[in-house]
Amino acid sequence: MVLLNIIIWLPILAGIFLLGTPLKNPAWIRRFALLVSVIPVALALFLFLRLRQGHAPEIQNRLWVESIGLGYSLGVSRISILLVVLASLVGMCAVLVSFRTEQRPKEFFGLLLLMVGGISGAFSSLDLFFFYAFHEFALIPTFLLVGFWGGPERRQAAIKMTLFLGVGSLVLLLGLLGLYLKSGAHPTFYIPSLIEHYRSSPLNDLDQQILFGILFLGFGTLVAVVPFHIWAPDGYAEAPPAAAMLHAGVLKTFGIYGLMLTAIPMLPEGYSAFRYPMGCFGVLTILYAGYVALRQSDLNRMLGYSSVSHMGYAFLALAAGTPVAQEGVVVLMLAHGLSAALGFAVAGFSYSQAKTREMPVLGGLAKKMPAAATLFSMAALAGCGLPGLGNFVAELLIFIGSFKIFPVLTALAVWGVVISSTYLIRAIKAVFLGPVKDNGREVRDMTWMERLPCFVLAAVLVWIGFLPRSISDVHGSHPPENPKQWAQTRDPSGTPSL
Amino acid sequence: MIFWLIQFLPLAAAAIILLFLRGKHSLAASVSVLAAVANAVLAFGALSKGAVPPLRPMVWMNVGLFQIEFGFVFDHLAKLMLVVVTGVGAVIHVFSVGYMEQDTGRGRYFGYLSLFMFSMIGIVLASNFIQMFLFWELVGLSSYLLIGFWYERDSAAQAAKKAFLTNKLGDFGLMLGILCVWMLAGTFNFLDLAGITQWPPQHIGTLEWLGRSISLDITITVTALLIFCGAVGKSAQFPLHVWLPDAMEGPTPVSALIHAATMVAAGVYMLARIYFLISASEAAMSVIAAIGAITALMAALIATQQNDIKRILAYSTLSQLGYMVMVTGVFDAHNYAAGMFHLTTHAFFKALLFLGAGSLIIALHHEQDIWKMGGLSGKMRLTFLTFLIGALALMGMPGFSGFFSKEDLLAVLYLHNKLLFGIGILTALLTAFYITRLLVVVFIGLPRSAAAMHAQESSGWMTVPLVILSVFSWIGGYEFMGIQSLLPKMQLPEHGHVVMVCSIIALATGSSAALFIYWNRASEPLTSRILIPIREKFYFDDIYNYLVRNIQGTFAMFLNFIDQWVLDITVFRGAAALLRGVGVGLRRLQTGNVQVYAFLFGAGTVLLIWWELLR
Repeated sequence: MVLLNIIIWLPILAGIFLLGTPLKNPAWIRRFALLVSVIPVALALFLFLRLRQGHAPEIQNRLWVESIGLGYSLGVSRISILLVVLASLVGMCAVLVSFRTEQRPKEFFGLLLLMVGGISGAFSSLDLFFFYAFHEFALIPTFLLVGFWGGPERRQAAIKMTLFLGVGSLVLLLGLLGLYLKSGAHPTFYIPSLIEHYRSSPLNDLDQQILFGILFLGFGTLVAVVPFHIWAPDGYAEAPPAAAMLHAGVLKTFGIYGLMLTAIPMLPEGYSAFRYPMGCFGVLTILYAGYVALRQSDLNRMLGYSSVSHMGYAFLALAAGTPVAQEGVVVLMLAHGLSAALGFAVAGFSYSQAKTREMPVLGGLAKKMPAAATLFSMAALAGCGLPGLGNFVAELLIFIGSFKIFPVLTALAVWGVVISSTYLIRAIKAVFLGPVKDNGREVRDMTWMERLPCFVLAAVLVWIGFLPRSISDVHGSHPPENPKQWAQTRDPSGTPSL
Repeated sequence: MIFWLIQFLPLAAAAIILLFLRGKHSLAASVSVLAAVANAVLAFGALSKGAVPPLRPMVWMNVGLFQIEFGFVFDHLAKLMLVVVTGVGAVIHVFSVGYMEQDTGRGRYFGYLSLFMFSMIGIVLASNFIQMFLFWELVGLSSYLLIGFWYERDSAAQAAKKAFLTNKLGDFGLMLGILCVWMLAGTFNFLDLAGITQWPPQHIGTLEWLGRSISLDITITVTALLIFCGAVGKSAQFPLHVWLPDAMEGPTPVSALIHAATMVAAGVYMLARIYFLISASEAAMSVIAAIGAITALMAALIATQQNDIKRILAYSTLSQLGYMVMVTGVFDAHNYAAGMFHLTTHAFFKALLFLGAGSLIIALHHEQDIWKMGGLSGKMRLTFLTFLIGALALMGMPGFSGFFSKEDLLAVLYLHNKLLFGIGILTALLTAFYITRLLVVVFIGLPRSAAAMHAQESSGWMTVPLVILSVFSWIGGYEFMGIQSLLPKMQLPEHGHVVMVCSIIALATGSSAALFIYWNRASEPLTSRILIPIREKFYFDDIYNYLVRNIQGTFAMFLNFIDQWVLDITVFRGAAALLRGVGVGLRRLQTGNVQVYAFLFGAGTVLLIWWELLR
């Protein structure tokens, strides 16, 4: 349990230290930040491997304010430890990507570390209060990073982000408070107890539906589900690469994770009433954001819409609710996190070199920066659902797991893959292929130090793509001797488990 | 064990080359060529193995009891295809050494080539649909990378993009088809699926549409057609054929290997692999036959009016693939055997023709216009002779491999559908016409450019592969070569000599017409306005460009407008106003008076309790 606390608090304390310290030497500051961001990766991986070997998940529950059932509780399942691994890994890569930041490195790295710690905290909290608080704690540095270190339109973008995510968080708070207040005579914030409680004595249908609606709205805004996505493309376009990587890749999935952790298990009737609308919202998000992405000429905005669009698959899968689809969501959160982070990292590099994000004036950069071109293509091809990269596994599982429940919606979602291939392949061509244009004359390729974080992200993406079983749940799987036995057993792709 | 080696040896080569040997060109070439040759040897060695490898399949992914396996099948079909892929692949690897000698990106080229071999072998050996789809997409990737190999050229980058996206369109159908198979049968495994027509009805699921379940027949038809979409994309059938001619932007050995001999034939291979499924639906079979027939005839027509040597061969490939698809759509015990036989001989002679074209292109310093060639038979004797053998095999000259396979194919058509047979014969006539035109214009007469004047025979790296392939193109169809022994026994009922007579008449007519029209001409003599649609490839590219630009583009523009102006303003301003309202309200409350705070706190608590009690 100590380990989990270190993963969360080491970056946070280090961040606070950086913000407060009078240290000036940027070299020391970034080395310190890198060191602090590497340790959680190792620890989180260690925890994941131990969990996978069958060690019981560790849970810490320390009741703080007994009268209102508030406690500091941590614990990780396979899913949340994977997300913690992702958070710390992307965090480390974000530090590496912005290693040469010249503008106020002390504050920059301080805020980045706060963000990383907050994200890990949100994913490993088992207490509703801390679950929410850690998320907010990670959001605030995001706004600051966008507002102070962003691109030319950073003010506008930061205001928009703050506004939307603030309202989303408020709505979410309302929903979570509802969950808390409705949990019996001795209300508790402890999530396992809440689930237990709502399972044994469920709320009446109307309450469940209202609460689920509020929670869906709140979590949905945080994941940028259409039509509450307006903040995302602007925000990601202007954000410094490190912030875009961490938010689009990891922090955003908090909404999906939250639905899986709280709303769906606690409000079964609300969930079943919202299943079909949720699936529709998912598909709307996939197609709408996909088509809008087709029209973007700004590379980062296109990546932003792409990221919005890809989250739609998760909503479809949650709506279907079969075990296969849910596993797809888990893989999607990881793979999308890695590929989005990789995409924003390379896009940030090409912007720093070519001084523009406008795709029509870019072109032929592959000649001058082959490594960047390769890495960007990997991120883009992952977005196209190419096998061998993690996103394929996610999409495949989601399609298989949702098709029997929502055939038409799933078919539309499969069409989404064609759309995303169109804009991503177009982007590769527009930015990197073809003859070199004016912007490409004075550019250089990534240095080894700049390649390193991208290599790490790409390597993990390939790892998941080739050996998805290394992250799946290997326990309790006894292969049926004869596939026709599916007729007798409960079909994991056709029966909702929730 | 041997299968794992065959499967992953090329991947290892590709990984080593792409990670470490990009700049070390000769080393990269040797690694890639060695891997390809070793693989061919292993594949021939494996021919004696049984249909199902003894090793249990590996579990690739599982969710509880649901699992996706990774295993191999090695039946007749897979054996034949594996031999073709590894054999032709090895020869083309060797040819590439010569062809790419001057290129500065050689390391990358050989890395991609090995990646392609890995993916293609994966399709051949795949034991289930998911595994096949996985490699199906990966061949698409290697094709994309190799078409766009000279990415600084805008046309190459454009062609690569087009190929990828057109294939993706086909794969949309394929993915849905695979999902339908899962719905139907609850398994992806080819061997388990094979008996699906005999399964008891309670083991078979059906599709639902608007709450009503669809009958099994229609479900199977829909499934088969959706899967066929994948083949339409990969094998470049009408109406998704437009990517293949453009794919000729890639290096010529790539055109030979991927876009003539192996990858584009994967669609035909898949149809043969799931024959049990498509043959359960009469409607699906008719559609398949019709698409094949349209492609065969249309592409042959277009080929007669092209001037780029590689494009002529590309349309020829389309047309021949149309033959194979057409015959697969005919109800007959031998149909896919006939298709696969033609696939095999076609792999030999079309690879040979492309490599011959490559040899010419190198000798002429990348000149591809046949009207800038001429008189090359004397200057490049070996290339000429091997090319001639390939052309004779393509037009089905008796005694050459193409004759045997085309004869079987036409016989199957003749026995079942006279209309398709007629289209087949007409296509054969056009085939003889365009390939004779090509031979005459390129090799006979006077050189029509400086490059053609000074052309010299290519090096041994290129001519030896040409000779090897020409031997196979010549004798590959005879019984003693054993190709037929790898296929289900073909015993066609007696059908007289009509087929042979018709095809020989078609051959003679087509060839002599071309000889008559093109002998000793310096420019295209057929300039009639009636031929404009053919020259313009029946305007497919223009129509598709229009559709993509106007329909999809306008739709996207419309949504973008909504996003920028409607949603942004309403949702954004709305949320801002809401927040401002709350802010103003809160500011009023912020009086600094402790009693007011205490009152509000109390009121809030009361409100909560009230809500708690009354709900």
